[in-house]
Amino acid sequence: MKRLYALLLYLFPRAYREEYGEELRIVFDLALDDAMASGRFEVAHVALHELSSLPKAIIHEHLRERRKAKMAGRFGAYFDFTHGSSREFLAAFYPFFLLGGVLPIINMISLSGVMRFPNPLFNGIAILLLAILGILCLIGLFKGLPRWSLTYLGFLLAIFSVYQIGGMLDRLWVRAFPSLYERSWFLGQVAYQGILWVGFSVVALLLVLLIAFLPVLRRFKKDWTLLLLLLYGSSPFALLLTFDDYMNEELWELLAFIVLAVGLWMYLHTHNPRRQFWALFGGLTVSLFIAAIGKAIIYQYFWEGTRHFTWLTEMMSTIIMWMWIALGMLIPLLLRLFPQSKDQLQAA
Amino acid sequence: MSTDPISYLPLTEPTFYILLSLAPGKKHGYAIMKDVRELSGERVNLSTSTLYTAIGRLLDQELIERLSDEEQDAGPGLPRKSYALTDLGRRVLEAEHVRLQGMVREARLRLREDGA
Repeated sequence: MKRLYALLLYLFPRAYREEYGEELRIVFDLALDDAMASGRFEVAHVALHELSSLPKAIIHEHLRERRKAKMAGRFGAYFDFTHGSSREFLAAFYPFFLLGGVLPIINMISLSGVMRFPNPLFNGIAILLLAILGILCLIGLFKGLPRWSLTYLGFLLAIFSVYQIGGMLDRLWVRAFPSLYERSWFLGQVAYQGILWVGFSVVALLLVLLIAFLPVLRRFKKDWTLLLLLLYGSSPFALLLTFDDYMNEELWELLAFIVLAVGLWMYLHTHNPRRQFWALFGGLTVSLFIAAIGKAIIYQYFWEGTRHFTWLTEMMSTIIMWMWIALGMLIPLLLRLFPQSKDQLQAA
Repeated sequence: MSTDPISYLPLTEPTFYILLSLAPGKKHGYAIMKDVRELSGERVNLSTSTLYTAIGRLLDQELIERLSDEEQDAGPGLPRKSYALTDLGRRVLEAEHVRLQGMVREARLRLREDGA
């Protein structure tokens, strides 16, 4: 009977099934187990009651699904991805794919000499891919920032932090830090990377503080890992930045981006906040450490002979960058300190 | 969604009992099902699919909320998702309570008049 019920659940719309299917099955099993204690007649009664109400519920949910799609409009509804679906992953992954997949491949083709650059075909493809990025970002904003669109905001946040905030603080760098650099390369690099990524942490902190005042940010309070996902969107840009000016870095870059993709996939496929945290934090950490090792190995091909940089300083600069981003990614944990709602406290 | 509790009234009997079941605190689906049966004196016997159709609608209306996994303490074999009243859900329940009280008061007065 339990197996039959589980099979009948496939008649519900897919989105509904993914949302409630497991719960429906567990509750039915519990109801049947309870009925078993009261005898066969009760089991038959419960089974009949459950099975007879199924057709109405199935029709109701199909109609509701259609109504929802109609209200959102066909185009808009196309971007209502089910949580954990491969379409949601692909949408969230697009900025990663653009920086981590397309760019290294273009680099490889360019270095192989198969095509000459600038090439009108590649220019067209690049414009098309960037236009898709912009359109998806706008759709995400228009649809009230669904989960998949947060990586786009993270990507923009990284650019804002490095170029806008970092650019503003650059004057401070010129005045104050060269002496620090002379004294200790490590401290100088910590300060330099801090200038680049301070905007990242400040925005994360601001979002945490504003959540108490802005109802539009309430969902971050409900699910603190969403803010973490937003910040994770910055990681492709961090990788791009760390390999800036490098040659023959494509394979390391690809490997690091694959790790980021795995982290993202794991985040989207679990509902447990702890696992989600470790998926993203682990993804960022492993990915940037792969980049650091890669830089130490390929360093000799490019920087050999320069005085100020060694394979160690190159590797360390990425680790210091990781330190700053990792620090920013710990900020969403503050959301766990927010008081719970009255109902939750009562229940506790 | 309207934030005026009156706009949700009158509540259907199953909806009223589901919200009432969640008034003391969060519950998972099966606990709601059993509680509704008990609260209604066995009159409202929700099936699993009917319960979750109602839960889906109440979530859309933001009268209840689904709690994240971390906040839940479901035992083995119990659903991992549980539900709680939102502030709006509680206000709707209170408004329905006031409405029902008014109806009972009026009925009582009229029936006394008839009896006198």
